[in-house]
Amino acid sequence: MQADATRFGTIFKTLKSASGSVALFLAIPALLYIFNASESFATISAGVAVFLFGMRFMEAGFQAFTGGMLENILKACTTGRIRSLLFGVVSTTIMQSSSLVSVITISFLSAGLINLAAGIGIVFGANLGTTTGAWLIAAFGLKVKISAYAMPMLALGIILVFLPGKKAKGAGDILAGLGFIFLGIAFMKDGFDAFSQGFDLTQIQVEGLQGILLFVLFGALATVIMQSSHATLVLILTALAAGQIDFQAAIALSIGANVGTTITAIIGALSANIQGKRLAVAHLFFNVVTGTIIIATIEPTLVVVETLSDFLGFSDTDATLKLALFHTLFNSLGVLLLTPLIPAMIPYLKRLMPVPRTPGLQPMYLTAATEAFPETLNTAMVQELARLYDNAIEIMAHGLHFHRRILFSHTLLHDAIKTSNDLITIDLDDQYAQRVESLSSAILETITRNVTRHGGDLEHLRAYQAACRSIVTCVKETKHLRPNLTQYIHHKNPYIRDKYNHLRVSIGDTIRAIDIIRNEPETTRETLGLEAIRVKFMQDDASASGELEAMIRDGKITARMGMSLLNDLRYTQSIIWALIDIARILFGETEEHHTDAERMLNLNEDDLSRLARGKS
Amino acid sequence: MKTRKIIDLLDSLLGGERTKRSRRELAVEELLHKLEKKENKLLERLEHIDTDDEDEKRHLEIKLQVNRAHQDKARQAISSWSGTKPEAETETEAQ
Repeated sequence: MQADATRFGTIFKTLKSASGSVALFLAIPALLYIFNASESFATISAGVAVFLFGMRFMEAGFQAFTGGMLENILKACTTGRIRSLLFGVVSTTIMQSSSLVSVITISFLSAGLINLAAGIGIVFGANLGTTTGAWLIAAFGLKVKISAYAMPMLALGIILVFLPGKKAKGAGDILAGLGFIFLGIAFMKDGFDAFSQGFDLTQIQVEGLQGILLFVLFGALATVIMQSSHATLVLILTALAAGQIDFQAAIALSIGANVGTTITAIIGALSANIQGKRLAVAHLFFNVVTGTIIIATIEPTLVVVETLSDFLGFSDTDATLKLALFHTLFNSLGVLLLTPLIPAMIPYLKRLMPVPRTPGLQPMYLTAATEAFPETLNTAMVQELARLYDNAIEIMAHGLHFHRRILFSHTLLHDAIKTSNDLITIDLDDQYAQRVESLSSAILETITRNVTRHGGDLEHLRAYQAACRSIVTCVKETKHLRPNLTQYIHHKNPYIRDKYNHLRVSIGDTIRAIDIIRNEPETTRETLGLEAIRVKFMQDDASASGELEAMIRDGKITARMGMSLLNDLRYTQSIIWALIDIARILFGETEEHHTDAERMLNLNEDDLSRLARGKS
Repeated sequence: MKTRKIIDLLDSLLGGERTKRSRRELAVEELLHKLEKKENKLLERLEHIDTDDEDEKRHLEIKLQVNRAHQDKARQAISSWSGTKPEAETETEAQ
């Protein structure tokens, strides 16, 4: 069944990529023909392309600042619905990209740093935040020759990009991105000016509700194609300024742009976890509900916009400012109506999209045949547990923000994280359910079944049971450790940052040491040396040495940070201790008298403490 | 390894007369041998380590301390078996 599903998935993916290639193959000659036929269309398209290019630059630039500052702000600003909403408004206003804010929100939701209610609040706020872009473009972008600003921005941005340092490069990307966005707007404006002289879009307008729905569809399609509601909004504003469309059509197009951006988010959420999908649906719900209300009340809405425009002193001919006003009213209405409903939406979304119940990883080596004899059972059990361990290590590595190529490289981890220290998005709950829970349950079930059958081998089976439980513990403790780790490994406070990086490096070093032992020939392999990791950890333990208290007393870290660190030290210790136990059972000696011998030489807690105190 | 296998083979040919205790004793001796080899390697690495790399030096020193603690335990066990306790008694204990 599972194999069929995988095969079907592969065929579907191949067909999807093939159809994409065919569409691209057909679209390129068609576009080339249109570019040749209409110079103004080519200019508009170039404007859209440069605008999107600028957006990509800006997104890349902001990502350079996502390693700490943004995360800390996010965590502090999302306690409560109103705060989340305001955060969405402010961050989108600053970044001028609701897509980037949505993507970051989805990644933090997946990381468990924020809850779904906060995520929905941010996305609703982001909708409101995009309206500031409309105001800026309507007020300045189409009246001032903004291409004049674009050039110095581009020049300065590119200089910064070539400077050393991640932050300087990020700032350069943002500045160059803004430059490209301004340049794109200028191109689009020129294109529409030329276009308006030869062709009149108003001629193809359809009257009534049908016409409105047609433009809503156009707006949504344009946004899906351009992957940016901002770009669509600029197109609408420029077309409106050039007199290519009337105000009602512009309103319908802007509603469509809002709906279209949710489709982009839904496509984006297809690869996200269930929380990301729920967020995308909440986003769609916001725009569809608000859009439907506006379409149903289009006449009174136009009256409200006209009245408010008069009140604000907009001239009758200034349709672009009126559209910016409408866009703000549209999104404000959505926020006012739907924000109080967020708590009610969450259970509904959870019912609508429950956590998928997938069969998860199943045993590969433990079969009825291998269970028949104690010897084959032991071999299969070790192989199955090693498989479970490998899955757990992969989840843990990503949970601790380590890429496996770094974790298993020959570079010292402390040095490696200085060059590759980006945050990794992973849904630990989902990964645990998929790759650990079902397999570990099956292993434990097999052990329980065989304890009575192969009573003579009880000792081995008990050891495997302990190893299995320790693997589960490692993944669970990593889940507990991850939120604070994510928050602090890029924190501006160097003391807490170092401590948290030290915690994950300690776990990473243990995983590495085990991997080395695992690959050693049996003649030289011994797991007793792993005790050195325990001794080193005990020596470094800031809580035991009083270092933690001193750090709080000296104001180097806050009491809250100290409390988090104290808890996380215990989680880290538990993970390291469990990893060593697992290594001994799975990768140490297998013959009974050898395991007995190793057990005899084991260092007990007193021995370990004595060695740890022997620090010079 | 080879020695161990030959001894195990001989033992089975002779009807498995060797005791569990002596097997374990052999295993401890073998482990001690591995630990001694590892100690030499650690000492060699310590000799050639960059003097500025304090962290690595400390790490190796801890490894050495732990290695020696294990060796002490192994020697204590071997001397206790070879010295005072009669084989039959220990055999009973082990069983």
